[in-house]
Amino acid sequence: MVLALCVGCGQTGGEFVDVPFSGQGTAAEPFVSGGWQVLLSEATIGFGPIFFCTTESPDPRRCDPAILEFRDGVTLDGLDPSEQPIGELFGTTGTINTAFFDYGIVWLLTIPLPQALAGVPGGPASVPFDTPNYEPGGHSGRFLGTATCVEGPDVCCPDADSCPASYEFEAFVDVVPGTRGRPTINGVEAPVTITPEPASLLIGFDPSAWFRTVNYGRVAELVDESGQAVLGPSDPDYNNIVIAMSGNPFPTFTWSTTGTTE
Amino acid sequence: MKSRIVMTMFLGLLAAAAGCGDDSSGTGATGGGTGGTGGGTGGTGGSTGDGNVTININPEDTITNGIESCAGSDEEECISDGYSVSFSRYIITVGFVDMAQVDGANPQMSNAVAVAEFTNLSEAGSELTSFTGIPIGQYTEFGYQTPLLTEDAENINGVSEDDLNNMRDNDLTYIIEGQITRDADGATLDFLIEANVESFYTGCGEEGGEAGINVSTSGTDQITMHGDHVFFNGFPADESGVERLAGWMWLVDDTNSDGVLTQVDFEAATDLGTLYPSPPYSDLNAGPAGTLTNAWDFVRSQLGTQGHLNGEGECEWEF
Repeated sequence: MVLALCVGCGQTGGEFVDVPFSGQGTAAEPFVSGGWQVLLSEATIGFGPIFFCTTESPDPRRCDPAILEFRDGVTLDGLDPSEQPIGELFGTTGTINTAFFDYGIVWLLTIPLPQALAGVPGGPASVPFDTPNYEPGGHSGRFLGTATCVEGPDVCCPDADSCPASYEFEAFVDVVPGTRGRPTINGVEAPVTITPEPASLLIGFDPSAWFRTVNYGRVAELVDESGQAVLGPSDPDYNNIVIAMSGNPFPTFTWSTTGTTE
Repeated sequence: MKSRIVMTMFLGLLAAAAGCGDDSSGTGATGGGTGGTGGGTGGTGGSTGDGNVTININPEDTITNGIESCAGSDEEECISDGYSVSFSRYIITVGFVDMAQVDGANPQMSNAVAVAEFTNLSEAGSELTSFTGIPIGQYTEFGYQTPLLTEDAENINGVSEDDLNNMRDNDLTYIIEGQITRDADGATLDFLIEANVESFYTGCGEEGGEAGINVSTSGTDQITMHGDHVFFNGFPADESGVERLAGWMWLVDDTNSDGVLTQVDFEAATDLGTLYPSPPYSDLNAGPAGTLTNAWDFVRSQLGTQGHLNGEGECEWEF
């Protein structure tokens, strides 16, 4: 049914093209936030599908049809700065202004719950985000790191009776689409004109930047006897990571077209 | 073997989306003549014809009636986390209506700008501008702005001189004064949003998808300003699945203890993970303000999406 609908209305009239694309992480660099020096040791990212559209609007209904698309899920090392080949975007020539994508979890109109795609961490799997005691499977991101207090307890844990000198943290994050039938991230600028000439795309991720929005003093209150803090959906800082992954910052889209980069 | 057909994932996902290509536009387009004198009060441009249309501004009833708590309410547009909201002032500038037929033919523009206190506007609205003697047909491109107050802006319904001066002096496009009431105990919280949100609304269409407006020999269309978007749980493509929540505002500290939440308080509210947990919030950086860093960004971004056409018709928006 879905396929029939698509085939009936999806052709743009351009020439068919395949565009190889890769992901690229950013090497972990320590940063200081709220008196804590933070360093990620793992940032495994679930990514896909992704669609590139002519519209400048963040309304996915205006992406009709997509110019390029990749419908699978993949796993990327967000801390590896080398190019990690993902596959090929396929579609037609045309003007692209925006990208619409998910972090490995899609929510189709035809299914009751979001689904983590095969190929992403822990996928394929149903994501029952709205059930009690839901535990995210880290389908969108599995993050490990260390926070070390470098400016004293008064700065690191201003409202706490005690403050660990250092702790490890873990966040298995599911970035769930908010609306059934709509991608999670909509209308990110990714301008390029796709011609019949060879082109490629590099999508860059900076997981450490996502973690700058975390309140590490608050996370310190979650530290257990083993010296580890595990972030879950009920924690504001888990939500801070989800919000950051949805655009603070967005991934970067670097196109190479016939020897030029846009 | 991989299909070489480009598939529209979104239509596929939406499954029940209405039709494929949007070919509903174009009726009556007569080609782009130049030099005509179409346009009456404020409207200019394009060829002449028998078409006449008045563009009104009107409020969604969430502005005039407030937004009820869903508890005990049969209103579809209600707040689901135990609060209700009322507005005592809701002042917006609107203007610069811009429309054209297919492929930009017969462009019509109006420099008219109006400022109005929307809590006192009728559902029928008040005239912003009109276009007379223009070609009849579908104007598939329709847009407008919430601009800064111009020197000759019309004061539709007696916005006070103090408010006008405030808007001029501080480059405001919105003044919103209201109150939140908590269901649980009747406690209230006042807020005053004085914001510069110079939005450009383009590609407006009727609810259900028809692009633009149809101009006949006589007709009226409404630029409808909504009042509930700062309580949305994201930036949805349409409002059918949106959830309205006010708890986030309750969590904003009155940092200067002046008894009312204002810009300085919203700007100080940077713990987005506490204010906007996901779910129910999602895709918070998808609004016209882009990446959010505090609650004021959220307010401005949501205000930048409140312009509609004829009630619930959607527009594209950008700052």
